[in-house]
Amino acid sequence: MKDVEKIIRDSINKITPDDFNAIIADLPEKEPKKKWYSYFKPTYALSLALCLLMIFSLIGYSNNNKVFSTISLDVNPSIVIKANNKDKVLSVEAFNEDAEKVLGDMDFKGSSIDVTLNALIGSLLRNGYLNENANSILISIESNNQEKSKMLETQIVEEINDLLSGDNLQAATLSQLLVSDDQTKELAEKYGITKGKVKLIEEILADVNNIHSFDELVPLTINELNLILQKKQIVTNNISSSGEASDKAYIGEEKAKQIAFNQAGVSGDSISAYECELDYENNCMVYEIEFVCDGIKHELDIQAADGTVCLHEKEGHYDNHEDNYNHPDSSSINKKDYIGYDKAKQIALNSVDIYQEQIHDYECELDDDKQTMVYEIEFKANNIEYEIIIDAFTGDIITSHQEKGHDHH
Amino acid sequence: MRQVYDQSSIDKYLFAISENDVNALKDLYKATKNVLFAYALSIVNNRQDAEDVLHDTYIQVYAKAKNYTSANKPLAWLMTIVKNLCLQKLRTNKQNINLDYVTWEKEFAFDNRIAEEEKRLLYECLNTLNQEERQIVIMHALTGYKHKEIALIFDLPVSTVLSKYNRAIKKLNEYVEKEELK
Repeated sequence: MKDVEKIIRDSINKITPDDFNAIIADLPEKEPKKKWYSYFKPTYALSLALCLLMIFSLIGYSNNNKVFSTISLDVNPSIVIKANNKDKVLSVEAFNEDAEKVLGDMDFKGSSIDVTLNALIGSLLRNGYLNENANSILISIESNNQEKSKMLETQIVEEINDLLSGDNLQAATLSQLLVSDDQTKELAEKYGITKGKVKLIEEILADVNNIHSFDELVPLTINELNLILQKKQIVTNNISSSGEASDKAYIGEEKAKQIAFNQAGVSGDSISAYECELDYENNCMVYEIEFVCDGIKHELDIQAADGTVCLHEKEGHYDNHEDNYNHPDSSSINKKDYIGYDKAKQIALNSVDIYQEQIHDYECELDDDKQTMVYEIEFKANNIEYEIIIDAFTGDIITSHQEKGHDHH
Repeated sequence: MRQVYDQSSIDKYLFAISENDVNALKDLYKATKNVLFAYALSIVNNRQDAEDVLHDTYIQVYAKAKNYTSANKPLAWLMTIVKNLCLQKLRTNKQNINLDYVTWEKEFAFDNRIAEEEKRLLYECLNTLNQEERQIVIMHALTGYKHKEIALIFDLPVSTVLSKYNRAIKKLNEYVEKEELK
C-alpha cells in the first residue's frame, strides 16, 4: 500500500512557492527604533528653536487639522471618516479591498460630512454593496464631545435612511457611540476591522445563548451579523437598531422546512416540537431546524442561500436496534447492549495480533459516530501507534489504522 | 522527511519579528511556508489564490507580530491569519470552490516538478474530502503533530479528529487502490 500522506507531503513541498524576495518588496516600512537623543546635535539647536516658533504660531491653524470626530461605516466595505471640530473631513480611509473599490479616486479632504456621506452611500449602492438583499449598515461614532457624538449619530442615521429610501430601499441601521479602549483597539488591529465592528461582534458574543467565537464572526457582513442579532432577538447594550435586516438573499424558513421534511422523509402532520432559527454555522448562514417524529429527534442545518442540507442528525434510536431503542431520550439507551470496554479491547488486540503485555499508552473512549456508537481505541506497541474504531453493538471493526510512532519505549 | 514543528522556535521568530527583524521573518517563512500554504490550499481550493494568501500572510505577520502574545500556540495564531485572508479571498472572488480536474491540471501545466500521480492524489484530497477532513489530513501529513495536538489547534474533540482522520485516509487509500487496479 502506498503511503498517501507521504505523497501529499511531497507534492505540497514541491508546489509551495519559495519567493521571500517578493515578500520583502511588499513589507510595510518600519523605522528602526532610535533613542530620542540620537537626533540631537548642537547644529540642530537653531532649527529646533525655529520649529518651536512655527509650532506656536500654527496652533490656531492646527485646531482645524485636529481630528475631532471619527465616523466609521461598515457594510461589508469598511470606511473610516475623520473630521475636525467644524465637521470638515480630514481623511477617508478604506479598511478593506471592498472599501477601496467604493472610494475609487474620490478625494473628500475639506468637504463637509454630509457631502462625503452622500457620495459614499451613492457609491455603496452603485457597487451593489447595499441592495434589497443586504440593507444593513453599521455607523460608529467616536468624538471628544459626547453631546456632539449623539447629534452626529441622529443626523447620520436620518441621512442614511433618506438616501436609501430615495433608492426605494428600506435601510436597517445599527448605530453606536464608541468609547475607545485598548482591548477594542488591539482586536481591531489584529483582525484588520473597524473598532465599530469589534463592538458589534462583542455584543453578539455577550448573549447568554451565544455559541460563536470572535474568529468565526469576523468575516461576516454587517447584514449577516444584524440578521443574527434580530433573529435571535439579542438585546444590545450600546447599539441602537432601526429597520429590519433583509433576508431576501435566502430561501426563507418555509422552503427550508420543506427541504428538511423531505430530507428526513416525514410529513408536516406527523411532527412535534418544531423549531427553526437562522444562524451561522461552519462558515455559512443556515436554518437550524429541529423537530421530533416517531420518537426520533431530528436536527438539520439547511444552507440559507441555496437550500443544501449540511447536517442531519438523528437522536433516539439506532437503525440496527429499532426494537430495543425506540426512546426519544438517548440517555435511556441500555448500556448493557454495548459489548463493553474489555471485550472491545480484546477484539482490537486480536485484530492486530498483539498481546496485552506488549502495549502501553492505552486509551479507549465510547463515542457517538453519528451512525452508531463506537469504541475508539488508541494504543502503542513495538514503536507503532494503533488507532482502531469498533462498533459498540456488534463488535465489528470499522476502521483500523497503524503508524510508525515517535516513541522510544 | 516529515518535519515536526517546533513551536518554541516559531515563538522566538515572532518575538524577533515584532522588533522588526527581517531575518527572523525569513526563518519563519522557511519553517512554516509549506504547512501554511497547504492550509490555505485546503480552504481556497485553488493554487493561485493560496499563493496570494501565503504572500499576504507574511506581510501581515510582519505588521502584526507586536500583537502576538505567546500562549504556546504560535502556529494556531499564524493559521488564524491565513484563515481570515482565505475567507476574505473567497468573499471577494465569490467563486465556486468546487474545482474540476481540467482547471486543476492547467494550474500545473508548466510545472514538471510534480508527478501525475501526485497531482491526481492532491486533487482527490482537495475534492473528495470535506474541508475538516482535508485540513486534518494535511496537518497530520505536514506537521507531524499527533491527533491530540491537531485537536487542540482546530478546537475539536480528539475522538472527532481521529474518526475524521481515519475516514479520510480510508477514502484516499481506496482511491489509490482503484487507480492501481486500472
